[in-house]
Amino acid sequence: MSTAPPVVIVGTGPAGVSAAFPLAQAGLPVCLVEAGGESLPPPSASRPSLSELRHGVPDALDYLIGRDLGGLRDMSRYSPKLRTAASPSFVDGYAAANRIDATGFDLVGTTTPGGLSNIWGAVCSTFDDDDLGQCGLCAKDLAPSYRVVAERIGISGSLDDDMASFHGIGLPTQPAVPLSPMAQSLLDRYDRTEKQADFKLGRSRNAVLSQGIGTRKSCTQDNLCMWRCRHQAIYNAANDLSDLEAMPNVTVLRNLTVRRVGGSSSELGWAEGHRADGSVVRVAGRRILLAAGAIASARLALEAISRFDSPVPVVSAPAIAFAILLPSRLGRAIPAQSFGLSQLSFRLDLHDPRPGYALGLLYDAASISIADLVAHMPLTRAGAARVLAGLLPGLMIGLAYLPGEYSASHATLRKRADGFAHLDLRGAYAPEHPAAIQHLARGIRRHFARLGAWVLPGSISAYRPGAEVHYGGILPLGKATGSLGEMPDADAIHIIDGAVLPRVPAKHHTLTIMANADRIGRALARRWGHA
Amino acid sequence: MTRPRDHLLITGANGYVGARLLSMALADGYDVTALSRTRPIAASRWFRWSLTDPVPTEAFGSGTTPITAILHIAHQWESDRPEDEDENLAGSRALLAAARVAGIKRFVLASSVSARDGALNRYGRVKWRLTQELNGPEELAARIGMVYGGPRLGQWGAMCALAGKLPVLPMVGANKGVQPIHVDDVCRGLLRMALIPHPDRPVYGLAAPCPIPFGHWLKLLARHIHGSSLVILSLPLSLVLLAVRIVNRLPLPIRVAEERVMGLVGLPIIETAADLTALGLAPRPLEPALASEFGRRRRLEEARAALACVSGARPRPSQIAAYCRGIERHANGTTLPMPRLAHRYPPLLRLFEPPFGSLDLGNWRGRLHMALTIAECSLGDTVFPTTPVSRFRVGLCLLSTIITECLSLPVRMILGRRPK
Repeated sequence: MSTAPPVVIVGTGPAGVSAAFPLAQAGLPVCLVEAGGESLPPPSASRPSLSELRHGVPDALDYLIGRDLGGLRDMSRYSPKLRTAASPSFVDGYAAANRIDATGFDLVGTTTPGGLSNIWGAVCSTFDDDDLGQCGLCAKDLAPSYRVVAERIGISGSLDDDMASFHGIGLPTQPAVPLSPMAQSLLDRYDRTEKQADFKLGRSRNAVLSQGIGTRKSCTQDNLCMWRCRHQAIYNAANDLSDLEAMPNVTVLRNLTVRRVGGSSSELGWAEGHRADGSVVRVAGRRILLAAGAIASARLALEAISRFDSPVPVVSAPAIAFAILLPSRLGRAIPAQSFGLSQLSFRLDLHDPRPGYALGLLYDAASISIADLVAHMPLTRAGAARVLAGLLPGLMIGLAYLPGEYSASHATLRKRADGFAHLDLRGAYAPEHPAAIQHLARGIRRHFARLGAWVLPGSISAYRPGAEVHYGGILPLGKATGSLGEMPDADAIHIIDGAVLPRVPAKHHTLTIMANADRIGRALARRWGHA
Repeated sequence: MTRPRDHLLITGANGYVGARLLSMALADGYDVTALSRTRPIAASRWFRWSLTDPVPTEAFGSGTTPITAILHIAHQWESDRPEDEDENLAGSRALLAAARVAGIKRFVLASSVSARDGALNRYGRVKWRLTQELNGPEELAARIGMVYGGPRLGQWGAMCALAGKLPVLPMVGANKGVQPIHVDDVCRGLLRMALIPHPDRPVYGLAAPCPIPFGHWLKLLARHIHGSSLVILSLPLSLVLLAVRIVNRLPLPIRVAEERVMGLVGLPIIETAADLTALGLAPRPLEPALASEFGRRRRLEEARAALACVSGARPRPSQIAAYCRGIERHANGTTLPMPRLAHRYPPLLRLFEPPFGSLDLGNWRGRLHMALTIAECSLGDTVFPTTPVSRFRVGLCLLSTIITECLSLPVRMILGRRPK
């Protein structure tokens, strides 16, 4: 075992564990620093299905809203998973712990082992060169890492529909989880209809197992994906953390919130963390890899190079939510078994105001808590429940994402009166954002109408900046940072999470963040003579 | 610690204050002999006695321990006799005389803040006259303030009714100070008066040291007990008396004694801080006491109505408990003002649900949303059909719901405004 100083990785989310694996497997000492303590406990293995819970099995309330009643808080501005899958403490305190002051930006982050992957929607798509922005990082460099990560986390989906190449081919892919009758009906209709050049519909690609891997079991279609999977069929970096912790050259320091980092390659890097009791712990490392979440990592890196009062962009993918109705499905039964994450995805080409594409995802509405379905309806709650009772068998909830060019948020590191550096995060959309949303909405209405599905009037609502939790492009590779995410004036520090992605396209970026972290970890291991 | 051997005799032991006092004395481990018209629920040595009966002298002896003190709580409100021949005067005098004959020195008379010479109401005048007859060194009077809490009996029950049944209350002297005190604090004070070794004053005030305006007090009761707001309409005394007489003649489930109104009008303010200190008594603060006493019941009422409103079915106990815990956890335990009719007809709450805005628990939109979140576990086939349903039925249901929603929208926009 090497006696060299460890590689310190700040954060144990998807990026942190993805970089840790190649380094640890190469025999290098690795120290993962985690602000949280214990991982979220997995849901009970005996939890009934959503259909059974809705039909009043004992303890149904404990499963649906949690013993701590966390499910009763208002999280209607965010993804339903933030309410159903985790207690309030999951996201509370992230901004304060990382000294981020957000204005007009719905910052979502967590100080929990495994990070936000605990509630991941698990949508996986690979980026091509256009997605990556044609600079700093190219798809060819990421290809081996995509493969390694896909094998590790397990991805299921279809390789022979119109969306297969969009999500990426050539990756190890398990068979898709069966579609719900409603999604299947929509896909069948799409297959029978004349294809349009600007619209493609197909199966979603998800980090969800249809075949078990290790202790993770395959999807049982209990429809409770929004409440976290009791079989760990949905990927969660916390599972990887357990595997890493079992390796002799890996240590995990928990309950340590890193507030400052520093160091250059000519000396050791360091990370200074605080415990809840106020004590300060300084960890030295050969390299400090930042994977604390894009915005928190950016704050640490900016402070390390003392870049105060100079704004940096914070790119996110503006999103909208909408509901579509398949009238042909009305009156049908709601299936007792189903898959609760994204069933179908679509690509809609955009021409106005900028060329590009939007990515859309479709979920069975019956997989989502009634509280989240009615949250924005102007009806009475009782009336909304009655309306839903009629519509649910034909109702799908959609999310559509625009490329990050339509966001205009920025962050500035400022020294506050308390003597600490805070990141002043300001949310905004680009001036073209409203036009792009209108264009997107028109496209969605038109294409789904052709498939016999109606976008429900008044159902389209735009997320506030940041609420979609696709953050990146803050200190892009090849521009603000080196090819391995190293900071120019503090090159013992590498950023390995979304902060260094050169671009945030409409596609979900988690798989790419993991692949890039794996790439950086692998490159560092090679640099130090470890295969 | 040895068990107290004091033996208390309590009259009116089945009344509003007396029953509470009896329970407290027994819980404290004292021997108790109860005198009342009907047998008290709490187990004790009991003799039947009303103020018009001869005093049962056997009650003063033949017990396990000699009587240490008499707590004279009994009072007869209704009387057909002239004031000089009031049953309370005769009965109390007889009791006091019997006590003196039996050698029982400590005699505590439950009097009133309103007891004073020339009081506007007969109760105040009678209590004043009785107080004047206490001349032994250990013959004490307790000038008790406006008693609240516990079962809604006596004056307390009348106040609860006044504060809750009428949305607009005509009254005189809305700014007149009253000194409310919780019934348990009164009982604790009476017990201490009965047992304090060397009483240094003949009269102890058992009333809140800081008076509050009576109108404010009624508004507090309306909010905490009934969850409603109350508008006080200041009127001359003559008009109030007229309104009370009219209300009493109408077939309404309330009766307001004119005598009590007069008692309120003529209520003086008394200094009680020193007396309370002498007794080592710290009356509980008003608002926390009311919130603690009525908060849980109101949360239960709101939970039942809100859950029934969104689900159309009788809620389960687990759902009611979750709703109450939800309020406690996410809304500091506060309930929203709820129309009384909504208790019987929960769908009425829909009219108070704002069509837009926040889902926080400060309005009915947030509350009913929370109720629906909880109700999801029992909606079953009502919302999540597991068997096919005819499309005609679906269409009909949607149509009727949309019509109902459209019709109720203007009302919701008015009634759903955020409560202050």
